Amino acid sequence: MRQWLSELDRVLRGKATTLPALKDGTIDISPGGLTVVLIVLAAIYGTCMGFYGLFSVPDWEGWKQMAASTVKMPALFLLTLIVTFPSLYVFNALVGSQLTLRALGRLMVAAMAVLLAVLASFGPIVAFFSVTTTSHPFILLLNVACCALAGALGMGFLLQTLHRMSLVMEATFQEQRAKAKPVSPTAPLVPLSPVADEAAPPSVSIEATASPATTWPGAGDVPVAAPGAGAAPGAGAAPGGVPPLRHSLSGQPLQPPLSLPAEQSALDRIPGSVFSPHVKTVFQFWVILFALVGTQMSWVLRPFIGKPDEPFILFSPRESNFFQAVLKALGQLLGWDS
Amino acid sequence: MNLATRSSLRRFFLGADALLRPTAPTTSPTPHHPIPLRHLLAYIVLFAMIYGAFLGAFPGLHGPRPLQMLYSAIKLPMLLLVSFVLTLPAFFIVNTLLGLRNDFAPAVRALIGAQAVMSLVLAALAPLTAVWYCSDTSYHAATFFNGALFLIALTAGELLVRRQYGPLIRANPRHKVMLVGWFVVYIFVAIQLAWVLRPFIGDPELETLFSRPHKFDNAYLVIWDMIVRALRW
Repeated sequence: MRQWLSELDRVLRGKATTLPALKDGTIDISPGGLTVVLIVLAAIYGTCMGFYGLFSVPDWEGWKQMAASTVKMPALFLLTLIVTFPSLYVFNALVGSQLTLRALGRLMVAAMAVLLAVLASFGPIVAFFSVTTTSHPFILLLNVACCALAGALGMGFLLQTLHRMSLVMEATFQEQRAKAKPVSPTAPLVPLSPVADEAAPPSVSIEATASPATTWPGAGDVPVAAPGAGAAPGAGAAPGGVPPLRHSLSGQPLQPPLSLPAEQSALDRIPGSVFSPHVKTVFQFWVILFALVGTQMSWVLRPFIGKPDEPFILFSPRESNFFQAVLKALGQLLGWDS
Repeated sequence: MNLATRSSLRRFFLGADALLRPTAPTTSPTPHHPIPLRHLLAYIVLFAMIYGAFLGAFPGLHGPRPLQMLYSAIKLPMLLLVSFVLTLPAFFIVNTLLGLRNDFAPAVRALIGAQAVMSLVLAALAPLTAVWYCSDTSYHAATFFNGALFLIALTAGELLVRRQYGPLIRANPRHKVMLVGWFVVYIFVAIQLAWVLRPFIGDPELETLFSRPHKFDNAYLVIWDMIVRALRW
């Protein structure tokens, strides 16, 4: 368990998602262990949510509500992931991303770990308000706000890590091409990915110019070969070797500038735009899909909090939707809804 | 009192003095902390208790007021420390996520130091509260007056945080975002906790109690209700 927690710490500190750490095209984490940690984190938040039921629902019903919330919270996130992951993988592959199923799965687990760590850290505040407040709409909206904030940070991590993985994989891709066929300084434009080649604007294409190996931000003292350097990472550039990649239009180096701080956070954006617009769009849509499915899943699995003076029920009957319920709660809170 | 005790007491109070004074500007990203952490926590408890005792002395020392003074003296340090503890996990995780984990220890010290300064300022203003209580018998006026003193103390605390956080913010501007974020969450929690722990002053017309029965409603809803009523008028 301690090892899994230290993995969570590595993810949160951004050490698992530095460019050198991603050089294998995946995040170096134990997905099984981290999944256990994220189930525990979700259960902690669920327990904190359940405090409201404990203090407002009579007798044993409150304890039942707390137990149900503790179980339902991990279920909510795992089910949302299970529902949305296949579509992400398929569309991701369709638009030509080089992320493998394994890499994508690890990326998702890491993003969920960030989301749930933030959510669990709000647990004490939610528990405090749950114990000291009788207003059901207030607690409902407080939980929605906490989940939205945690979700925003988790999805921010996902997009930034994906961006970094694209940078690393593009470098590897170009390196393999350079090994197979030496590139001349006037080499033609090289497509970012098979699909991007057909549909992407020229700005995402890259060309090669001469330069030695470089150190990527976050690499510390570990030298990593420049993209297209024609040498294995860490081996430096061969004399007169293949140069780093440049954008065909801007002429800017593809690899990030060396002036970046060596210590990057998990949410730091690394300059560079090898991110295929297709892959980027798929992930942006997926983030929206994840949020929508998550909210609807929470609606299906409700109640998480339990209404005061009402008997415990494991699942509420199907009616209305999440957004209507939030608007109704807001109306009740502000006295606009009789 | 033996020499060692006298010396440590002297060091303790000199530390409080040092906390108030601005230190020389430094370019080091890690602020210099000459005061031990346990002393900072002791300042919060001690000086908040002093102000709490004055707070509960309304409108005088007759009848059950000494009991209210005792209650308030216990509750005020609780208010500061419990609010801080509740916000600490979120502060830790978001600091880590923003890449500020290496500065977490000095950041927490700065926040604890700010609360210590706030308590010190409140304790220094406590005699003003006593004078106010002697000169005015309105419960509502006493509430507003103490609210104003809290605002002054809060400003002083913020001043110290800026001083302590300065080197951290210069090293990484994200500390500023983190500080503002923490402050918003801290105030959000502290207002509700103050509402739960009320009364601090104690309406003399009501029974003297550690906390009001049936108190578990929401401070923000009460404030909203007051605003709505005021607008209807």
